[in-house]
Amino acid sequence: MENHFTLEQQKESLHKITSDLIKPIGINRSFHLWMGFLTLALLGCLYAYYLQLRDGLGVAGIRDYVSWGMYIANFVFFVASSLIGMLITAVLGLSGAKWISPIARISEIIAIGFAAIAGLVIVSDMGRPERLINVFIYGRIQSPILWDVTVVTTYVLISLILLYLPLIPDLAMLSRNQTLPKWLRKAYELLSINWKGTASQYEILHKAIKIMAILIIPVALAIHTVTSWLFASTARVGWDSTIFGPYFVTGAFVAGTGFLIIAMYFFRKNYKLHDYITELHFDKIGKILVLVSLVYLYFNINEFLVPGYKMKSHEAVHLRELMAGNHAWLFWGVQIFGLILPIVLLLFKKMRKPLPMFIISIFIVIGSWFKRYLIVVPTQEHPFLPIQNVPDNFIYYQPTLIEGLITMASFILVLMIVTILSKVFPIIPIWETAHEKGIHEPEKLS
Amino acid sequence: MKKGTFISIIALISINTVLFGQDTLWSVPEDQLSKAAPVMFTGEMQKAGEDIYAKNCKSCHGDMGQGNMAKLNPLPKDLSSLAVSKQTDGALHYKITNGRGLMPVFKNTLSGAQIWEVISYIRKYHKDYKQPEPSMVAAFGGKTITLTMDYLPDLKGFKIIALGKEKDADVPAEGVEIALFVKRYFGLLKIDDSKVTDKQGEVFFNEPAKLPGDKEGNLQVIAKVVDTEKYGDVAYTKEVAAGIPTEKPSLTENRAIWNVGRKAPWWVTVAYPLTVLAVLGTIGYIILLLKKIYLSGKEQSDNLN
Repeated sequence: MENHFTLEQQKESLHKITSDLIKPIGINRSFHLWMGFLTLALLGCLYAYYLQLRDGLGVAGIRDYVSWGMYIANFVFFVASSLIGMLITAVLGLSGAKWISPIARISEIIAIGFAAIAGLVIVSDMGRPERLINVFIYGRIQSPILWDVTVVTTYVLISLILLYLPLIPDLAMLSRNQTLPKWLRKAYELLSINWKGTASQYEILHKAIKIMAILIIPVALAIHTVTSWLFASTARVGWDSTIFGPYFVTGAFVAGTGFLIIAMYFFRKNYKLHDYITELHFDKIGKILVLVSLVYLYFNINEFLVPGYKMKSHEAVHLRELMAGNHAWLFWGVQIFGLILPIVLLLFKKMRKPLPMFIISIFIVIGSWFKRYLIVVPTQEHPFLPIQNVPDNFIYYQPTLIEGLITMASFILVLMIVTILSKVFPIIPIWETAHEKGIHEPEKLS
Repeated sequence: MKKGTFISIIALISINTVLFGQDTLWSVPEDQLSKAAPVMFTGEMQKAGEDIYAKNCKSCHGDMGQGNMAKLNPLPKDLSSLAVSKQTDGALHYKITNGRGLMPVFKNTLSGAQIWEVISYIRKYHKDYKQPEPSMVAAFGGKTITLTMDYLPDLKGFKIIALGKEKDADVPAEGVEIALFVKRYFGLLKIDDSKVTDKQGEVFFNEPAKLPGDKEGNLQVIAKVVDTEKYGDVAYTKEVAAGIPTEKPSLTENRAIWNVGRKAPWWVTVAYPLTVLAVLGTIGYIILLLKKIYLSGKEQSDNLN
């Protein structure tokens, strides 16, 4: 790009960008209030977890038939939501979409929050969490469970690196900003590893980002495909499907994009970033949401129409329960309000504005959560070999309050991670924004 | 339409009568009524009968004399009751064998001998019961017959000898129907038709051709008396090298995706660590790049100083 700004203009412009994007950083009163509230709520939920540790998994609604309940559904949802980081930074970033730079870091923070807590969600489904180590000691190398543990951990690591790399120039800039507290500046300086903004440093950094962005694509695909294999590698109705991998991955993009839009709306409003996260971004993300939702709808049709056409006896019982039986309200609610209506609405330009998209995204996210519930729970109510003479509550799953609170705890933890990361780091990359505004060497100017 | 309704009502009534027609006659054929057990009931039989009762009868008939039967229509009988104790062994055997309405047919579930064991258990609760002369008493001195089997490789077959007891002396049991089986993975494979013993109490079976045996070609050959009601469960098992030696590794012996970690398929054993290493290696390379950034930054500040 031709540099058609004078040095003075550039300085002024950079000053505005820096102060706009740095303003939300720092520990203020509202941060204390919000974190205090989250901590209190978390303590309440942890008490529920204490009860579960003390009395065993019996305090949850899971029994002999449905032994994977809300926890596992929530785990799948968390893994799904974390895939947004890969979609934005890697898929769109590598394809050369420049407009993503203000929302890339938000999506990476969401990815880290959900991926980091997903592992904990699994632990909450263990009656004896202290035996977790046995997964590694006695794990079978052929087991999707071992692969899942490996790939979730790797994904968290790669997401952290992908958050950190583009932060380095910003950290160097922040370490010189006098408005910030001294200890924070010291930490930034440490993390900025001697960043001087030289051409050679930029070259190395771009190379590193590019490698990581490529690496995260197979890892992210693996994380959710392996999660789907936890189900698809068993011969049970509703799970015994060859398209479960892509079905889960596209579903993940829907859920993740929903969260991204909610976060974009929130940060734009509260961090006053209207100049940076513009209606253009909402419009583009809205179109992406329509695209991924359409693909997901296509997989949904495959997933139900093909077995529905054949109606094998066990499959038929399962499908009837979903579409006309006990789970019908939830099933059609999820499909209509969580998928079809959002697709139709977002086709209109008027709907691809911040507020309508924020509301639609809330529906998408709630729908996505219950969609995972519908994948995990109803199948287990119809085993091939039913157990005889057991009480009703062994067959039908009824989540308990304790289970709900423990699940809530996982969301609180994600909120805490997102809050902290978005309070200590600029939510929008400063140097990238500066570059796009035609300021080529922000390091020399500041 | 009306005709249809009428027919369905009639059909319903008749089904109802068949299924729930209480205490209409449960007719036992004359010749079955006097049928007696092959042997005298023993404590062992009663014990075996108790287990069979617990598995197959108790869920409806409840515990003996406790009145805790299932609430069905008609109500299942307490089998210790007078109404049951009055019936002959033959009548009970027939009813258990053939069933009626809600009472299941047991002839495909339990063997004749097992049904006698259940009856021996039920009879424990009938005070005035006196067992009639066992059917086998007439044949072979009240003792069961014994079987022995010889494998004759030259004749390519099996000679089976049935012996009965008469006044403490072994006598050949003539006219006993014998069947021959070979044990397979799931159940028994019948060899040839069943045959009746001759005057010497002997019967000859040709050996089965080309049956796969174990590593040494051994087969488990079982001779059985067919008429279990008369003679009880009489069988003789012998391991003979009459099969083709076959060595088939068991399903869990080889490397397989379903096997234990030690026996994982080699491609998983190779692919998994390689993939993990490749990813970790790439991350390691990124750390190297970060070190490069650090060093080049340091160099620059050193130059400035």
